Amino acid sequence: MEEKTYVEDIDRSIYDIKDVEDDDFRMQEGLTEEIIKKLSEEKDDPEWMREFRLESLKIYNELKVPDWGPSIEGLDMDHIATYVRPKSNMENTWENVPQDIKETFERLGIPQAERKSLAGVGAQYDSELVYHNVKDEVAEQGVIYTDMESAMKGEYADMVKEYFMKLVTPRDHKFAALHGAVWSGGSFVYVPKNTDVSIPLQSYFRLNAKGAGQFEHTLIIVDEGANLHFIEGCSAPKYNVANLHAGCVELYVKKNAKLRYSTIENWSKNMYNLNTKRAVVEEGGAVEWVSGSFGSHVGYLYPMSVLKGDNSRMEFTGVTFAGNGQNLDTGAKVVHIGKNTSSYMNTRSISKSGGISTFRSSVVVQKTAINAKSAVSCESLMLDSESRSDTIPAMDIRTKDANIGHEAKIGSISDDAVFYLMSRGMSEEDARALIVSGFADNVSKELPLEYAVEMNNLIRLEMKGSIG
Amino acid sequence: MTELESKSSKNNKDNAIDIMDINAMPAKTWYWLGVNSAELSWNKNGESLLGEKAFTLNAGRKYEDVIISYSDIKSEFNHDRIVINAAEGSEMTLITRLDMSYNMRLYFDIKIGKNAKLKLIELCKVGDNTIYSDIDTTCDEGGEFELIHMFTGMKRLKDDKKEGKIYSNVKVDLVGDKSDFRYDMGYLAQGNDIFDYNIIVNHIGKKTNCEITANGALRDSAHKIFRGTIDFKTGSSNSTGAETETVLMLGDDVVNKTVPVILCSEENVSGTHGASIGELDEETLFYFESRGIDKAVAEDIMARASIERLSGLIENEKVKEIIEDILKDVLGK
Repeated sequence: MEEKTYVEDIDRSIYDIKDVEDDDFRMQEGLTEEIIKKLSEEKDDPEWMREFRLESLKIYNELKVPDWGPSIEGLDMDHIATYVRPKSNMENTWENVPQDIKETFERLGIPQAERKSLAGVGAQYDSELVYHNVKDEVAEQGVIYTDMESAMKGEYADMVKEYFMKLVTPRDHKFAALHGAVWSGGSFVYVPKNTDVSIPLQSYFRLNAKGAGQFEHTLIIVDEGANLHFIEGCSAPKYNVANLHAGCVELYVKKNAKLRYSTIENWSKNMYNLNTKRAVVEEGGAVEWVSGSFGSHVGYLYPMSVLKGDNSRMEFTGVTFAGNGQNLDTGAKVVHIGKNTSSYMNTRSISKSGGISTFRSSVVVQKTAINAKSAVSCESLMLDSESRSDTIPAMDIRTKDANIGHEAKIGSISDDAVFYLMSRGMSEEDARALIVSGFADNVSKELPLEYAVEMNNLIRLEMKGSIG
Repeated sequence: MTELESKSSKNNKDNAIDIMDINAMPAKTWYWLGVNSAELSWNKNGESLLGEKAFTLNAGRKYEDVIISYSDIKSEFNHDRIVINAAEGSEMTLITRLDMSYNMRLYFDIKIGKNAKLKLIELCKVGDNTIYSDIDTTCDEGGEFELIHMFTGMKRLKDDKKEGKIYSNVKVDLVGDKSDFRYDMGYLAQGNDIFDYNIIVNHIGKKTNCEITANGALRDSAHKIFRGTIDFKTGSSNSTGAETETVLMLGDDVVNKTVPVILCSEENVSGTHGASIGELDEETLFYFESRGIDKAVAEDIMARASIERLSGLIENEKVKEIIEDILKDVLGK
C-alpha cells in the first residue's frame, strides 16, 4: 500500500497579519430596512440609489439561497456587519494614509508595484477606499480612474446611473441583490475612445474587520477602440468567524475595444466569496479574463461574458487551488449573441488535503450567433484521495451554424514525472511543486511578471503541505 | 433465438396525468439552463402493466439471444419491467424493440455477477408518443455490461407540429473490481422531437472502466439533452472513464444541450470527456461535393452513419435487419 506523508501548511504570514480594529464607523450586524437606510445615510446617497438599495433588499428577501453549489450554511447574515468605515479619508499620497493601514499595503507590495509597473492604484480597506491615484500621463489621456462614490456624485453621475447594475441586476441571484442593497467602495474606470492604456491599473481590496462583509462595486467602461488591462487583488487575515465578500464587477467593452481583467484572489480561509463578474462586448471587441483563485473557505465565482456584437470574442484563463477546508466552485459563462463570435476557456483545478474544487461552466449559443465558435478545455489534478474535484460544464447550442468543442481531463500527478525530477536531484516536495506550477502555467504566463511570481509563490506555499 | 411478444393486460382506469421528475443529474448546476432534470407527463394510475419478465441466467452458461418486441401495444399508457440476474460467468444478449404509437415506460433491473457478460440492445422508434426507458444495473467483479441504444424519431412534413418524446435514464454501478461498462448510442431526432438522456456511471470498485460514446443528428426543430456523469467514488483507484459526444446539427431550429460531468473523490483515476457540436464541417462537405453529392444528401448520409455504426457492434443478423428497416422508415428512403 502506498504511504503518504503530510506536513502542516506553513504560515501565510503577510496575508494573515491583523491590524487592531479602530474603525470610524461600524454598522450593527444584520440586514434590515433600517440598516439599509442608515447605510444610505452614512454614504450620503442620491435618492435614486437609496431607493435602489431598498428595492434590492426586497428582492434579496424574495430569492432563495442557491442549492446547486457548495453549502453556505455557515454564513449567517445576522452576524455580518455590512459596512465598516476605517479612520481614513481617501488619499492620493501614501504618506497621508494612516500608518497601520499603509504598513499593511506595504507588506502586500502595493505601493512598490505602483511605482514599478502600474498606471494607477486604488486601495480599499474594509468598506472604503483609503488611497486612490492615477499617473499624470494616464490622466492626461482622459482616462478616468476614481472611486465609485465620487463618480456617483460628481461629473460622471449620469454615466454611473446609466450603467450601474444594469448588466448584473439585483434579480440575477440572491447575492447580487445583497450587493445592490449594501454595496460600498470599489472603482470606476472610463477609458476614452481610441485610448491605449499601455500599463495596467490595479485595485486592491483588503478586509481587516472581523465578521464583516466587503461589497465593492467595480464599473469599467472601455470606449470604442480603446485598450485597458485592469488588475484586481484581494486578501484578508483569517478569523474564526465567517467573513463575506459579495462584490460585483460590470465591464462594458465597446466596439473594437479590448479589456483584460486579471484577478489574484487570496481571501482568508474563513471567507465566503460570493462574487459576480460580467462583461458585455460590442462589435469587434474582446474581453480576456485571467483568474487565480487560492483563498476563501467557500467560493462561487464564474465571470460571464455576453458577446453581443458581431465578431466579438472572449478568453477565460483560470486556475483554482483548493486546500484543506476550502470548497471552491469556479469557472466561467459565455453567451454568444452576435455573428462570428468566439470564446475560449482554458482552466486548471488543483485539489489537495481535503479541498474541494469544482469547475462549472456554461456556453450558450443563441440562434442569432451564426458561425459562432467556442472551445472549452479544463483539467483537474487530484493530489490525494481526501480531496475532491468535479467538472460540471454545460452547453446550450441553438444554431446549426456553430462549431463547439469541449474537452476535460481529471487525473493525478504522474509518478514517472516525479521520479524523473527526483533522479535529477530534486526533493519530492520540490518535484511535485514544480509539476503543479507547470500545470498552472496557463495562468501565470498571462500575468505581468510580478503577479506571476506571486502566483507561483502561492502555489509553492500551498504545496508545502503535501508530500505523497 | 427466442422472441417474446408483449400485449396489454388491463385497461386504463384513471385519466389523471402526473408530472414525474426524472433524469436527475447527481450534481446540479444553474437552474436557468434547464438541465438538472426532466419532467415526464404520465398517467401512472391508469397505465397498463404488461407483466414482469424475469431472466435468471445460470452460472457459466451462455444463452441464445432474446428479442422482446413491444410493437403491438394498445393501451394509451403502458409499463413493463424486465429483471435480469446473470450469475457468475453467464452470458446473454437481450434485444428490446419499442416501435409503437402508444406511450411506454420500460424499467430494467439488472444484476451482473462475477465475470458475467450482458449485452442489452434497445431499439426505440417514437412517433407522436412518449417512450421512457429506465435502466438500473449493478456489476460485480469482472462483470461486463454492454449497452447499445438506438433512438429515432419519424420524418415529418414541415407543418406537422406533433412531437415524439424519448426519455432515457441509465444508471450503472461498477461495484466489483475490474467491472466494465461500454455504452454506444446513436440517434436521429426530427420534427419537434424531444430526446432527453441521462447516464450515470458510478465507479466503486478498483480498476473499473467505462466508455460512453454518443453520436447523433438533430433535424428540423428537434431538441436534445445529453447528461453524462462519470463518478469516481473514493476507493475506485486505477479506474478509467471516458465519454465522447458528437452532435450533428442539421436543422435551423434545433436545440442541443450537453452536460458531460465528471465527479471525482479518488486520486489515482483517469477521467476524460470530449464533445463536438456543429453542422457538417467544411472538409467533410468538400469531400462529398467533390464526388458530386450535394449538401442535403451528404447530411442524410452522415445522419444515417451515426446510427448505422451501431450495426457494426451487433453480431445478430436479424437485429441488423431491424435497424435497417427502422432507418428506411425514419429517413423515408
